Amino acid sequence: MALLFTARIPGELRHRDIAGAMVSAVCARVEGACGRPGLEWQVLSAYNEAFNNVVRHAYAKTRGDVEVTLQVDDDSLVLRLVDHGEGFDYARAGAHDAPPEFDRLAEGGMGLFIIRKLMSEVTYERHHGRNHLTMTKRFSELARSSCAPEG
Amino acid sequence: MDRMALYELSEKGGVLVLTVHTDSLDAITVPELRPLVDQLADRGAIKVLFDMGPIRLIDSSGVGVIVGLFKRLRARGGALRVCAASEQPTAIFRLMLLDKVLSPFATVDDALRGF
Repeated sequence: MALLFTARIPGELRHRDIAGAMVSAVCARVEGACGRPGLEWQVLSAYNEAFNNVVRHAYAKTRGDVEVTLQVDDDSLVLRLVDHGEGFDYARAGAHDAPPEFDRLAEGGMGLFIIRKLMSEVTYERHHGRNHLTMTKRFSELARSSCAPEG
Repeated sequence: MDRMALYELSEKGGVLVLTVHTDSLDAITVPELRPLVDQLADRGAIKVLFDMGPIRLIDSSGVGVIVGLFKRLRARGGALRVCAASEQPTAIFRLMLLDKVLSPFATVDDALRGF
């Protein structure tokens, strides 16, 4: 049975950690229950980067809310952020699979790369003036800790 | 209630040791740290050790400020080392392939040795 958690918060950095606390708490519980170490920090890191991008880019010129949804299934977890700010060219922004060489590394622009490296699957869609960023983490990609029974 | 300073700067054997008193080095805390980073970078030929011990989470803004300071110091004959990175920052450095460049040290003492 899937568990669903939602929060709607203003798209401003000072509010980011409100929904972040929800993401952290849920993932920590799942991490403990499923014996999948690393789940909490990986999903929370992806959430932080995604929220930062909404504030910096989607709501650069306007203000609005961010809807955060976390769905926990038996074998995966789906984190979705929805905003109604400016859209962006996801294919172009997230096209690189390797980080830039150090000397070409800028101080910004690494967020989407980090999200794609930490999560199993990332999709971006724009529907009716809203950005939907959906990030899936499959538990099978995380090592199983010794506290959980094998197979 | 007094708010704890965001960072502490001390000197050990000619090396400036920067310790950030926050569990997150991210888009929220980096702007507060930026003036100090700019001051350090402007001093140029100095050695800086970034003690990351208290930091539990780093995001791309935090990585950016470290990379930026590393490059600015190196360009002016200075150097930056980082140490005591916990699980998440270590993993983020690794996936950005920064572990090879920054060569994080385990402890402050390890990082100071031969610096």
